[in-house]
Amino acid sequence: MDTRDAWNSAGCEKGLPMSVKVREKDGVIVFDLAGEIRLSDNVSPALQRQVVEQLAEGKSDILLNFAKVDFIDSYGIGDIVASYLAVKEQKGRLKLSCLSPKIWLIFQYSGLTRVLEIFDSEDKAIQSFG
Amino acid sequence: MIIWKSSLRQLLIYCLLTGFSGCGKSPTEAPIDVEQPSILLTCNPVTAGANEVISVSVLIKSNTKEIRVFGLDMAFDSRMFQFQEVRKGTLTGGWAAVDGNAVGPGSLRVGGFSGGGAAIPLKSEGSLAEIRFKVTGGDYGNGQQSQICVKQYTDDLVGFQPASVCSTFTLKK
Repeated sequence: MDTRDAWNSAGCEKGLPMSVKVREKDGVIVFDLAGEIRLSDNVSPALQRQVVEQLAEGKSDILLNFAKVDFIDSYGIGDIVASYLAVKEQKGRLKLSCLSPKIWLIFQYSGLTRVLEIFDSEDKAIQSFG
Repeated sequence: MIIWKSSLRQLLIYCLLTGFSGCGKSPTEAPIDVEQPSILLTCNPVTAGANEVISVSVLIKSNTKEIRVFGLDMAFDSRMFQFQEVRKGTLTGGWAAVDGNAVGPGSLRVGGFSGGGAAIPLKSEGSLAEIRFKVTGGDYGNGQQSQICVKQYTDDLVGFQPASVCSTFTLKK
């Protein structure tokens, strides 16, 4: 029994897995994230893969909208960092918006708030891309 | 022999009454050389013309705790310089990210976090980040000087001295 099986058998329910909707606003690719960004049964880095797909299409201004994100674990943090590094490699910009106080704290403790640009609202974030 | 003993006795009495010279200080009065965690800014080159790129290094030494994450604010004259990019320093090469974001004209927030990389060990000496600027020069004349400064150290840089440090650049036209 692995850790997650033990977690489930202990009665700890999994939340909703991460879902991603992609749209474009004022030339910025907005990822509307929802649910939980964590290690799932699909172990491939889901977010990074989709970010790389956008980069391949020449779209390098990317906003991750966290308005509907309930939870993020270390795997999720790694997925965000990998996405950020992929964007930086292409000289693009990756920013975040609408983090809940709980998610903000996780980012703060991990040090990500020192590197990533994080905005209170989607509009402010979009404007910052200029 | 008697004269010698007498002289020795007088010398001993003199020393007891006056104290031995050189032993007047207690050990706690001796100066203790303890280096403070310090931060320094260097500009390379210190003189350049328009359209040249300069590199500003944020250097540290004598850190008294490991450094895993840092942040600081950088101020510069936006008429003289245009921010280009932030590169990792000699101490942060293995870190997950070191980057800078413009927060307004002439204002930059620089930060880094180790992620899976190794923390900077105690008493290290080297650079945290290298910030690159393109010299625009604006309407300044030859010999115009301009300062680039850092302040507001956060996270593992809290307590570093001085609280604000600058490097001076001279425009060449």
